[in-house]
Amino acid sequence: MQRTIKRLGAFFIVLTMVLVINLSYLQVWGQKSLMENNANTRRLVEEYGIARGRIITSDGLVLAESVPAQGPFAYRRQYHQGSLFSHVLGYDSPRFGRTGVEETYNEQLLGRKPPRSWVEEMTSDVREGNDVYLTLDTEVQAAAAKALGSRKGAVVAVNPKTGAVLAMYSWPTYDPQSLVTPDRDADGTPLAEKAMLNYSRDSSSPLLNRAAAGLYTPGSVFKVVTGSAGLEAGFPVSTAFDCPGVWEVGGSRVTNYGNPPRSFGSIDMKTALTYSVNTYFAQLAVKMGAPALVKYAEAFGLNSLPPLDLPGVSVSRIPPPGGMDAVLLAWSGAGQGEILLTPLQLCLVGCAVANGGRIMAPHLLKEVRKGETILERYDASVWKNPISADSAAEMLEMMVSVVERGTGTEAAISGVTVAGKTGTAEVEGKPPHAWFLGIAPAENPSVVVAVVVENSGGGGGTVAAPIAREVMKAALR
Amino acid sequence: MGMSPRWKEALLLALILPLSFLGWISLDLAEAGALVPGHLVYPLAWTAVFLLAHLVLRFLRPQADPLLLPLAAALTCVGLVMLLRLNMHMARLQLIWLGTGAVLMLLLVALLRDYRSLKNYRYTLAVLGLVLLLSTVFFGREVNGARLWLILGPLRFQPSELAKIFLAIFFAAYLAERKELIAGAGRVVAGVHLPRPRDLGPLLTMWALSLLLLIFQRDLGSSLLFFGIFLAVVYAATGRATFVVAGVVLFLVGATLTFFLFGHVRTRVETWLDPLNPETVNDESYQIAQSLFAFAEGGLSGTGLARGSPNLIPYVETDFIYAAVGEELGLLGATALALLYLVLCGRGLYLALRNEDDFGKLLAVGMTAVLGLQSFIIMAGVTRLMPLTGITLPFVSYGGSSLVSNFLLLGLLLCLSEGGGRLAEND
Repeated sequence: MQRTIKRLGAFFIVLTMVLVINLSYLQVWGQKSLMENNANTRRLVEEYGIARGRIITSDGLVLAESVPAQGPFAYRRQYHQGSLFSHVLGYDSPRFGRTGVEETYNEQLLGRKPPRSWVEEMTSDVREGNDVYLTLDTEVQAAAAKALGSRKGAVVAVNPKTGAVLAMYSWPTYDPQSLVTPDRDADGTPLAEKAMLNYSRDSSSPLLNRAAAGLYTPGSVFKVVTGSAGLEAGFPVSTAFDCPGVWEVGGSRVTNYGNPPRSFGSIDMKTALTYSVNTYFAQLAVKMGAPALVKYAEAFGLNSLPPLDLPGVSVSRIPPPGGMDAVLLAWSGAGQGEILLTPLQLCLVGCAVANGGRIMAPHLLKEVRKGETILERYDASVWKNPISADSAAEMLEMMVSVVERGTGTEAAISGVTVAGKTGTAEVEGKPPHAWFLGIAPAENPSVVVAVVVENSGGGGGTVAAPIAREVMKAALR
Repeated sequence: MGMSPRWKEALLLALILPLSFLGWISLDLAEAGALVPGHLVYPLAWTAVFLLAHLVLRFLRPQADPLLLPLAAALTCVGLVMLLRLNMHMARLQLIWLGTGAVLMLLLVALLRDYRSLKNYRYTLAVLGLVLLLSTVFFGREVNGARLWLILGPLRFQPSELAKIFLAIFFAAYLAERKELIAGAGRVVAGVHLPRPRDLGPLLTMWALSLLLLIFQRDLGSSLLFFGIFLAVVYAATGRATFVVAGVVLFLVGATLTFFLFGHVRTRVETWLDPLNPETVNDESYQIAQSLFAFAEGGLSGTGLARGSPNLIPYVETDFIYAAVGEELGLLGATALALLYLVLCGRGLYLALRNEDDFGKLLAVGMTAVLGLQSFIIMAGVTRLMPLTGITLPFVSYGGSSLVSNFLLLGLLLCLSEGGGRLAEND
């Protein structure tokens, strides 16, 4: 019997070994896939057990905070400013996940970043997150929302010297509070569920941040890029072209605005920009050639992702030089054709002009704080340097002329020198988009504003310029 | 080693008793950030129980095995600290059960002067065991798809916990008497020793009983456990692997039958094969999936006490307490706990080896098999090593019937540990 008892002992040893090997698999090798399983709510329980930090504008307005909640999670998010900041804020919901700065700065808001000292890490739990301060300015944002009103479109305002985003507004918009509300309707369906369904079914895409993700044909505002490229490629402001109302190219034609298309005779670049003469910029584009145009467009940031600290930013696009024939190149010079820009990208083009040729990396984060202590501050950095300071100054001067006596007079602010460029982008089968790019004050720019109004039916000068004016006024107050 | 068994026990207890205070301190610091003096009653009461048991053993059984009590102390300490973290109310009740169990164990040790007298009651115990088991078939209350509970007024009692000990005693007595008969006879065919048909009687009886349990009580765990204990004792007694193989085959046949006959068995198997199936993960396989997530969350060193979310697992205080250990104490803690059971089983088998009397040997094997198989079945179940069956983790899970039964089992091992002599060298 001694032998069989010893064998039983060996059997128990084997059982324990198998158990421990399996445990090692679960807890070490297979740990990751189990932790990332969709049905695993432990992450959520842990994350919603922390009083997430607040999100606050640069002027101190609290946009989001955590409040104690009933149910499986200790806290839930509460948004205070309705739909005014929704596309930047995003939402933070155990049901729908996170977007906006709620996603970008999740770790900071949960108190995991910046990292704590190891003594703190060992001895105390994170129970409160850090506050995230944004560069957004409440008044500029409110001015943008008020000026755009109930028109599909977007407004972006950036300080060209730092890249700080002062306003970013997109309409139609949504109320993030409606997506995190714990309330239910009479049948017990969560209201948040219903709200999300309505928003995602809405054909006007209220969840889309048009300011950073909407891609639009730029039309004439792109002439700022074509003109700057020309200045850099050896075509000074004084370069004159004969500009008829209709310019024949490659078996097709480029036409000016107006009915019949207006003819300008021989004009220089300043006049051409002031009156947004298509046939001038078409000839300029063809003269410099597709490689040069694409090269400078890419130097301004097209075909690359702007480093904005927000998820879902779109890349603005220009086709490769090999993909452009003479007609497409000519139209591209005037901002038509296959070029697509986000309002954010247009604003960054303006930033290069306003900041001596350099584009600062656009950002929404001002600083991360715990109480009064600043834990992390955003450091401004140069993203791109597409043009020289001289070219930037010349372009800025031409844009002042646009607002003083050209197509952009609606953007003028008394007592301030405003520079700008209008755009009326033709879209097939629909009314044109109205654009405006504004810079103020021209002597020492502190704000660049890009405005788009989708299928507005009006021109950039009449529809978009007044919006830009109101936003610049708010930023300059 | 000149140290007497009781001084060895005292030394080991001195090493283990501070653990409960450490558990209390780290738990309070993690949960409240400060010590809650009121919670001190838990480690104090637990310490008092084991000190009392130690002192009584000094008088009653000075030569009893010195490892058993410290091992039970270590296991109940893990259980109590986990319960304190999971469910304060249950921790309080568990403390009462702990005291009750320890007192009953000491009574058993005091009254049962010679364990060999149990042999005389073998049929009484067998009948009592069967009555206890079958009682739930007629009077039982169904809880969570299994009829395991007898409810007498305010008392809820799980008779299978006690029945397994009675039946293990019966197996040991029965086989000690007949092992030669069973093992010796029979023919050898192609090198395999075939038992005589009539010696297969007990095997078939146990098989039928296990299946009955499975069918009428829907109790997969107990069914497997009874059959496993029986096979372990038969194997130890006869040394015949054919019995084990035949037994395992029989059990698999029975289990396959119930798989096709009963939905709840099918569900258990399906959730075992695919616990993370999106269609069942929030429904039938929620519990096992949450258990796996808990282990994953724990990782190597665990989240730390009170820093995980084991309360997401239904019945985490009873069947799934091992998942809570895995989550908050990590692979290290879960492995340590598994090793504690291995050491306890090793000690039980050592006592079997050392005992000079066949009944004593088989009784020790039976008691060890109860502990070893039960802990393995539930640990393997919650880690998806085998299909999940609802039984408690001995000494750790919350549960009065379970804790009291395991203390009685410990008492039996203590009794027979003194009866042995030197370790017999010959086989």
